[in-house]
Amino acid sequence: MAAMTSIRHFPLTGLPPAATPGGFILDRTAWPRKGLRGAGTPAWCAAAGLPFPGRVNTVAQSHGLRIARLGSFELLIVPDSRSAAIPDAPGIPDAFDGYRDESWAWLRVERPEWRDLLAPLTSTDLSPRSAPAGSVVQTRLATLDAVLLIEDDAVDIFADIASTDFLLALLGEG
Amino acid sequence: MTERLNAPWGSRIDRSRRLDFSFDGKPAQGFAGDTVASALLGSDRWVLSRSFKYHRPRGPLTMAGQDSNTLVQIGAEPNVLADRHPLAAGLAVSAQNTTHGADRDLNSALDRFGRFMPVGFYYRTFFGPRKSSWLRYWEPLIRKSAGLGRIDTALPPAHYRKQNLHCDVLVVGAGPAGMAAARTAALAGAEVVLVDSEPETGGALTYGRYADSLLREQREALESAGVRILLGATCNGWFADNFLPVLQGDLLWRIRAAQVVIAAGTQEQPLVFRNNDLPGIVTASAVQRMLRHYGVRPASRSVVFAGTPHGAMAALDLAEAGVPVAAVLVPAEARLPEALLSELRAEGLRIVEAASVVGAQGTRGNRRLKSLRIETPAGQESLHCDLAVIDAGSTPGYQLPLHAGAKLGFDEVSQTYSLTNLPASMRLAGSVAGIHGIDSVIRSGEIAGSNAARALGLAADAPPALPDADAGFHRTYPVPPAHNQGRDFIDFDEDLQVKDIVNAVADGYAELELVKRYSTVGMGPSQGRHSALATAKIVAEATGRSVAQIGITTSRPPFGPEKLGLLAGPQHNHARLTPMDGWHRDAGAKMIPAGIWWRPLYYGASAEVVADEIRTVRDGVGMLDVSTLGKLAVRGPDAGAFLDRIYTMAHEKQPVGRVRYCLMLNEMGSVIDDGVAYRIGPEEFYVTATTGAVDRVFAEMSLLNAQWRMKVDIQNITAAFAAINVTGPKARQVLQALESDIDLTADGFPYLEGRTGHLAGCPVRIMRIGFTGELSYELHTPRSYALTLWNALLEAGAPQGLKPYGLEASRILRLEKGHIIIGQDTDALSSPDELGMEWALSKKKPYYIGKPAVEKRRGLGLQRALIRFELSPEDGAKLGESCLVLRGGEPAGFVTSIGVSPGLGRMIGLAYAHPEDNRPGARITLRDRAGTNVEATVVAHAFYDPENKRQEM
Repeated sequence: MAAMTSIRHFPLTGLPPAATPGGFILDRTAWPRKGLRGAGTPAWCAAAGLPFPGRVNTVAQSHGLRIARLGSFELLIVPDSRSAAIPDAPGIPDAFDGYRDESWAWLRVERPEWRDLLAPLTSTDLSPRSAPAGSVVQTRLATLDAVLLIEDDAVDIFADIASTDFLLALLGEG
Repeated sequence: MTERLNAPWGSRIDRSRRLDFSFDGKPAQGFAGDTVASALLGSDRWVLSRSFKYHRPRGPLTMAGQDSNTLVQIGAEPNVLADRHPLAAGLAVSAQNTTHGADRDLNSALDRFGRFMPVGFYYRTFFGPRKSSWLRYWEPLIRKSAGLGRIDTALPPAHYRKQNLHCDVLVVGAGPAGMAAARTAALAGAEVVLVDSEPETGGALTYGRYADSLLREQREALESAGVRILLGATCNGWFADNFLPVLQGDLLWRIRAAQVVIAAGTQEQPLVFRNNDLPGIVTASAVQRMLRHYGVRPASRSVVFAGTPHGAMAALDLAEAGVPVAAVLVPAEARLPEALLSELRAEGLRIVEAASVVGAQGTRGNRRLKSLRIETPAGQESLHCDLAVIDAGSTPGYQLPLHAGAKLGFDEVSQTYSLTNLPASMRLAGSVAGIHGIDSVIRSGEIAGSNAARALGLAADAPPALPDADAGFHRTYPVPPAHNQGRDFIDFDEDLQVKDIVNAVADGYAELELVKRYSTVGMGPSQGRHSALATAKIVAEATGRSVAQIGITTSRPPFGPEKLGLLAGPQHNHARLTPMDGWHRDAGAKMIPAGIWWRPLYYGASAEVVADEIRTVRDGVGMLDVSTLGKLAVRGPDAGAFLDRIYTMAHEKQPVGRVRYCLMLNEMGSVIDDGVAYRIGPEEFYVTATTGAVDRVFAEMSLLNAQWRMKVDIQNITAAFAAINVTGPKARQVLQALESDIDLTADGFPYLEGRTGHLAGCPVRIMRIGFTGELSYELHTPRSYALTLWNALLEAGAPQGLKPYGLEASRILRLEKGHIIIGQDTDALSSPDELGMEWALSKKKPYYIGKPAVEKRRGLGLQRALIRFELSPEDGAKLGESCLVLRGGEPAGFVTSIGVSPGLGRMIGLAYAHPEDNRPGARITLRDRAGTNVEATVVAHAFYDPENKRQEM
């Protein structure tokens, strides 16, 4: 199963990587990432040498990777650079591939005012107090289910890959 | 234009910038900073509109957008509040509800026939003289005269925006109390948003008789506290959990606040007397706004009714501005501070004590006030004046607190309303809380702000309340008995007089909610701001109860008018795209929305290509992008057992590598979805669902497993995989031309089996299933490989004539096989028996969703069946979906799918019909869209290859 989704092949929507003038919205959909789900996920992390974050909606860091805990047994692993390797640990029972490299677009907004940019698109409180750097927000953004990894001056947005054009257009309106 | 008062009067206008506009087609002028109303008043024009029922001339009453007298049409936009709308060059303003403009309205004759229009008269008239009179005569007449303003249906769309905003404290009202509350909370560390509908902060400090330094100090203190201020912004309601919409032009702020402070001020109340609606009769703060904001000289001679200190201060303002004040009327019930009375006397103003107003007289046509008739212990007297300033007390701005569940009580002694039972996260400050002395008002704001901050866990001292210097001076005034000549209005919007409410009670409507609905009191644009208290007083008097017992009608959002565009916009059309979307468009496909996906309907300039696409599939090989198909990963030790419960067929013992049809029912035994389940491994299934139902199916599966707690993980992976259906007698040859680690021979890969491996270097899951009735391979590949695989297939299939086909061809291909489409050929009642799908129901499984209902419904017998029919294209030319099936002249069913099969040369379709007609060769009657009955022949399940030889080769 890992072979099915481990190779990134095309920019999926055909849009250029920096989709907006000024380049503050970056399309990282072609970057590697891994989703995991199932009761075996903690064991998978142990076998892969990665930390399993202690609480839901928090992020652990290790070897150039961010490991975001999305649920009791659900993780999203993203690299800080395109070349960072995501380890594998095959054969762990009940640790299922979450297909996040194929099902989610990854858009990164690099701008100190990113909270203002997202404010028209979600009713979730994204203020620094409610969504501090290092946290994970799972919410509705532009009517899509979205996962946000929060940094001080940037945010990584993961949402339905088939809606990438739609989301980029809305982000670009800001 | 008349001369404006010199500065410092007119703080908002820029005398160096004149603006030209028009009113009722005549040129008019104003200054930058004016509102439309102040510009018109500056030209001594007082009549802005005509009243609703009697078409009486009406002019500004509050100058604060709280009355509907100032509703005008500006260009294409109706119902604009002239006392709120900023003046701009070129505005074309016109009066509403009139035949020939504000000054001349032929319908004003109705004012003389008021006796024929008592309260509720419309419930008893317009029914004759004949039964048809209502629809023939009265309804068109009333429809033509109803409504205010004109709608321009040719207007281009406007753009509206929404913005979400979270804060610790929302303060509504930027007068002295609100500014103090916002400042105090912000200094304690709260994130504060301050909202006001005016274009500047300050509230009454900007127009009242206060030292300029006070306004300046309050503003400076506010600015240094770091409060976010929204001006020209109206808080239009309170909703659960402190969600408050704020309207600011074309922007809707959706604000969520932890704490709310209401400093919304008060609503001045009119005095009830005959002709109390004449242009020139205004509230005290209205005249102060005219003077201080706009520098308008409002009259040549004025009279002031000073029911509270506010009126007395308005009189002093008029005197200071050089407007003659004929008299200051102090009613018997009033208590005014001695210092204020002394000040009035020092100005040389005549004070008439124990005075009440009996009536007013207007100029010809009632276009302007001419005189006021008053009564004192000494007798009656007429006072010539063209301005009457009425200060008859006020009611608190109760709307938002009442939305939040607060209660409005009335004190008979002080004759004032008060608000209680506020939610814990809402506080009042200033005059809305019954505090009027300026020092206590500011202090009340500081208290509210600090309490709000402390409720958030912030450190804030709560200063002690200050005694209210104005306590006991503010009250409201009784409603006199109905004037025998009427026109003593209590609701200006609806032209309702005292006797109308009295008569409503006499007609049997003793409860306020019924009085409201019977008389329409409070239902106009002002929403009871000026009528609620007076109505309650009349009903109390008429029914022998207290005002507190009568209460007030339920106050609901919105607080004021809001455009539907603000609620609806901005319009974002969500579109989901398959990975081949760009390729389809470049290939000239006609794209259509299928739900929120975009899919190719056919490839070509017109629908004539569809027949070619069908032939390509039947004779050669075609391919269809089916990436929108729902896909679910069902994994875990209980995966098979879980699917056994969900679907009607058996899956727990389904062999690895086998593909099995899935039919899903609901608890009623009705079909809700179908698909296939491919068993990839002992604990892994790859399940497909229809494009439109997959989200619902996934949600239902998740909900059910939350109850069943089986060891299974379910994930909706629809977008993660693309899917391509390669179909036609040459399909195998195309796939075999590609490099693959899968045995694609007929024996190596039989029908209804699945394989996992690689094709053209792309990882694939392939299922042999049959929707078109030809040899078919449904290739599923991770989304990122989709275009590579698509292009590889095109290249490898070129020698076989491989071409893509679209949805329209697909529809006909499946119809030729008699296959159903969920949602197209099924409805909420469709059972497997009706659909002829008993074969899909496991007889051995003890349970699947819907099984008990299927068995119970079977006992009732079939009411209808889905049949297949065919007829000549000529006979069926005017048939379409939903056309009726008749039996014995009565409807027995309807057509669900229909189309012309180019291969068969016949029109074929599916329809619900009587079960007895579900036999090959039977004849059924269909009524086409021209109303003609046509005959069709029932056929067995499939029109094409009924023995399924072609798809299983």
